[in-house]
Amino acid sequence: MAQVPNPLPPHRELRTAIYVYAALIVLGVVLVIVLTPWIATWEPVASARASDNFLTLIVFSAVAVPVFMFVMVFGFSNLYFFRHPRQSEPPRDGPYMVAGLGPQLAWIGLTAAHALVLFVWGLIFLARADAAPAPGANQLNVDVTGEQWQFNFTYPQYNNAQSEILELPVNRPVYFTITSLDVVHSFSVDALGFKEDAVPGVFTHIRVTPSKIGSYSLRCYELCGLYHTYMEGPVRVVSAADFDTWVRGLKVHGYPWGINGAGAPVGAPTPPGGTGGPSGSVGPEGPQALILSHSPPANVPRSAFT
Amino acid sequence: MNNSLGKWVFTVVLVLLGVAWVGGIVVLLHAMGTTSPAAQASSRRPAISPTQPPNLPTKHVYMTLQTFPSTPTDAWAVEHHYSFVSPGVAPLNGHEDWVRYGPNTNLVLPAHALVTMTIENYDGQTPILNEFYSKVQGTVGGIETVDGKPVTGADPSIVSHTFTIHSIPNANQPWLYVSVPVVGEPDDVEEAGADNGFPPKPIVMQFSFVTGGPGKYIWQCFDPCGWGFNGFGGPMQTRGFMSGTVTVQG
Amino acid sequence: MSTTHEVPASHEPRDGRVSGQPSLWQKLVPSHLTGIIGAAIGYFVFTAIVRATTPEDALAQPDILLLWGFIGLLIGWLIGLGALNYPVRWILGMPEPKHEEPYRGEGYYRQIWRYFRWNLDHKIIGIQYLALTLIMLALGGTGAMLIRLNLLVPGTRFFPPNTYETIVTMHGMLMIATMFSIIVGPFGNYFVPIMIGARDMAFPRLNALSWHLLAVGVFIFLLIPFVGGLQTGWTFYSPLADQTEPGAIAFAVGVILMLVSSSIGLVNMLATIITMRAPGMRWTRLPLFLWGIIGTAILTATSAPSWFSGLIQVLLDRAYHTTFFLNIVPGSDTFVSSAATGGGNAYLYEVTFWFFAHPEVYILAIPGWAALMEVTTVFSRKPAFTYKLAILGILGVTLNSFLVWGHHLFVSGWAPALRGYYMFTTELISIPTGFIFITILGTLWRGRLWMKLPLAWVFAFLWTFTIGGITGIFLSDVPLDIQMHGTYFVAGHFHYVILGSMLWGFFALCYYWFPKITGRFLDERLGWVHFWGTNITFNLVFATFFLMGWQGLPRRVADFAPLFDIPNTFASIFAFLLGAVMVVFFANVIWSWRYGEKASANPWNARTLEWQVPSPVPPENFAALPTVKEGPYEYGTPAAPPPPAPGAKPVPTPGS
Repeated sequence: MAQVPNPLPPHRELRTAIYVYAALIVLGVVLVIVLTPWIATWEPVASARASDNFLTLIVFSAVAVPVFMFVMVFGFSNLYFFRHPRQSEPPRDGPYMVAGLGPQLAWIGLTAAHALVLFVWGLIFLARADAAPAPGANQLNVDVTGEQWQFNFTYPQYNNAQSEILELPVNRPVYFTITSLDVVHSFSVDALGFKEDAVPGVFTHIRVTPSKIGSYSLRCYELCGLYHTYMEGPVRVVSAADFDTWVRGLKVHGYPWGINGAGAPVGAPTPPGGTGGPSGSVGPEGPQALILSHSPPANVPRSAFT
Repeated sequence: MNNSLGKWVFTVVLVLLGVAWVGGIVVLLHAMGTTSPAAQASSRRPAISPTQPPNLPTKHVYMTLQTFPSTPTDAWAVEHHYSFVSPGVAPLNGHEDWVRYGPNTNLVLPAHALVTMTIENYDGQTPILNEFYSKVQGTVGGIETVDGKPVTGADPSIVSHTFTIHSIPNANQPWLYVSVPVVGEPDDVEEAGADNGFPPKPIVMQFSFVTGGPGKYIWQCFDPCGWGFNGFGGPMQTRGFMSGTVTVQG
Repeated sequence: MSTTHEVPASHEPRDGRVSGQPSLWQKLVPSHLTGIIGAAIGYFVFTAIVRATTPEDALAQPDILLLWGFIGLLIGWLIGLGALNYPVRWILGMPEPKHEEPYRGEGYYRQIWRYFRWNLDHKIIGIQYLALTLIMLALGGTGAMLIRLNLLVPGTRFFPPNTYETIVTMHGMLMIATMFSIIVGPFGNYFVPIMIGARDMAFPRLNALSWHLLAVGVFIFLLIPFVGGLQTGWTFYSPLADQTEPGAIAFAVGVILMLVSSSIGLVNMLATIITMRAPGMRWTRLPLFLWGIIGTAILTATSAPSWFSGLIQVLLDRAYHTTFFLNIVPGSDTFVSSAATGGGNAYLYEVTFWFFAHPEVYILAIPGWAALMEVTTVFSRKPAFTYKLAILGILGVTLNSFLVWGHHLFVSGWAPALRGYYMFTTELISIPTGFIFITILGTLWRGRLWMKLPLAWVFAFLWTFTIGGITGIFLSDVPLDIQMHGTYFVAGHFHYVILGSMLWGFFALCYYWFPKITGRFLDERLGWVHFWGTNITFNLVFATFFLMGWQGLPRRVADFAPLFDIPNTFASIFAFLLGAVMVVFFANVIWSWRYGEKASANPWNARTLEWQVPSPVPPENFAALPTVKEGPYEYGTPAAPPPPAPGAKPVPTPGS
């Protein structure tokens, strides 16, 4: 039964298919390298992390071309070479052809080698992405708190200044410490090429070094309930001097909250003198008196992260 | 022949039935999700109103919201000349015992205008988790008044809710961010007003902010004042109770 | 019908079966009608008991009421069906209940109402499964239409965000549940006993229970929008599931029932294959479809309990304020870090879930691959190119899929040191998957390709699943996954994978086995309209997903940035066309069941056992058990019968 020797003569279809396959690999790789940067234009690439990802995308696409073309050529060419001409009646049986050991081992070896190449590439780039900055690199720490449905940011090195807008200095390594107060969120800036979950009760970390001044956006990528759609916000990468000015202008130092003009409202002008209440100006008691409190707590600057 | 025509007719009829089926579900779900009509800002001044600060848009509008520990009863509403617009989002349950904003959670504001908002709070205190939201942010002068007293923040333990406008659904509209704490009634006052469940006199917050160009925003409460796991369930997760939309019209 | 298997020709039912007409009372009691009445009574009795015995403030949330109401509904449904009669009578030492036995006899066999009752015949259960999974497919597809409608134009014009997220959640879970059972339910139940030469399943009552649990599970699941909806997505991540709307209760109870149903159904099939093979049906003579069932059964039985327990813990967290996944004490007024309170952990849910939900992807894929390999050999008239390597591929994927769940947690911050390991195992799984491809490609090569619809779907699979697999390689790379995670790129990837393997496999099997089940062909013209329409619109829709994902459009959002206006409108329009084409398939099934072209017993000239019995298959399948003499795909061997001369033995084909 199964011991029928393979009676098949060598056939020219295989040779034709191999030529077509080789030609299509070359064509495909060229197309991938030319077209991928053109199609896959995500937000402006503003960090080494993001540009590495972009390179990986192109390389993986190119490496995938032989796989894709193999299935296309040796699958779909059958329709051209071996199609039974009439649909209305069944064909005779085809040749009894089962694989010998050689082709099977070759297939296993090739797919394993392919997977191994991708794995090694991935390990190298994972190590690059997670590498700690050189000693003395003046790393900026940013604490990120997710709460339905907004992120807010604390700069522990700047007296725990807080803001709902993320502003980062260019070319300075940033170390994010991320947590959530309610459900799982995912904190992401596409242009900087990273994403890290905010998990309640847990502090997660990610490193990135912004490399390009500009305005980007951040958002939550893990479905977090009713208004997940709108859990996004602006990111500004600015020069070191601009950042310094901005962060020191945040006169909000943990609890109790600072004074008048807190969190300079973006887009809304802050009038000099800061009037607005029915009693006119802020008053003679001084800014600290403005904290409404039934039991004044100790005036200890406190980060949400200890 | 007859057979072959029949199958095409049947197919077309079934496709049309499919369209009708999907259309019917759209109508049903749309009806279930319909919210109350929007609350327009008014140019009429409320009884207590701030003076017009300098250097701000001349267009000045006013809006008043209330927060309740539960839906006001009809008797209370008649007594206080209050018309409460039900959120109308819960198909099988009115959730009348849920904490909520009123009279309406869909707000419409004019663009490039000074908006003065008054929030009358009848609810008690719920400590806030994220102290970031217990400070006043994005208002004119960085302050709000609590029963006439200007403040830049409140002790997190006496806050009842927050009123926070945020978010950009897309990049084509200006960033608008306003957040104020809504201070709660002390426990003894809250319990004193037991006849309707509400204290006799609310705590009144007042603040002003400036709108930019047209856009759509959401506003919400960041204080875990709801049900279930740590107070983030129930009204905090359901549209029309502790959250809503802000439409800035040009 | 001549092969080397010995299949006795007589199909008389075994002796002692009831014949004649049943009375109306026998038809209706018990039946699904009494089951529905029992379910309603059970719901109200249980809710009344809970109302009477639970303190008022615990009932302020509907969770406890709903939970016990659904449990009552389930118990009432089973009692009303008569499902519990047998075990109760067995314990009491009474004879078997009468209502189970008569309906297996010849006399009642041809009547329509046998589908609407507790029935032990595997073929009737198979057809019940076919109807139910097609209804679930239609409902899931309805959800897809609603999603695309909301994304047709920006600005959430049709549904507010809460309704939108409810629809997304229901579409996701319904489609997963459908794909879970759309091959192993109808075709597994119908064909597993026939393909191994047995009369029925090893445990017919378990088989009936499996369908009836799925039916009530789907019903409870469909109550979600009426008890408040939920905004979690099908992943149902715990702290969110604990605080979202009460639809979460209906979700958890419904999904638990679906999981139990799949597990017992598949374990039953595994037991049947192990113990009830006909004489001569060695392991190496088992058709590849059955190897697919074996792999799926092992995966389901070992991974489903993980999420099952996770869902029960979520139910307890919600209804009774336990803290399995919460690190904050419910109802406490202060935020305290995890060291102090609660003791639960959100990661625990994620791991519990993904330990099931990654093997689950292969539970979806393996039966599809097996089905397509089965069809490939028949229509290219060649033996499987690498039969043993294909088995190794199925079992290799089965084993390997337990080692990779961590790749869903690359961005979660959980065990960062393990990310390299999970990247390795994930890329490793491309090797056994490659065995499936080499089997199909080698079988096609130099065959005599009979381009009927089943084979056409094999080519659709080659295109779709290759793209799905390659995009999966991108996502297995940790840094690239950190960029792509949670975007439409992922959504495009798994639609390509799941539809490409499971749904295309289902369609291939439908066109292949429909003549065996009904004795009639599916209409070929409608079939080709369905084939081309599906493939063109499908690729236009989901290729757009890749583009949008590259540019960072997040999944599961009700509104989007102006950048995505045009692609979303484009995808929506073609998704509507895809939906219309799917209706063509439904029309084809309904129409051809009644009016399709009549088929002979073995129209495809196939050599597996199910084609050696008449169409439709008679009760008891085989009068006497067959003896198997050779492997399933011995095409082109000297032992194979000569091909039918053209015209000598006409094979009916539609349109000719």
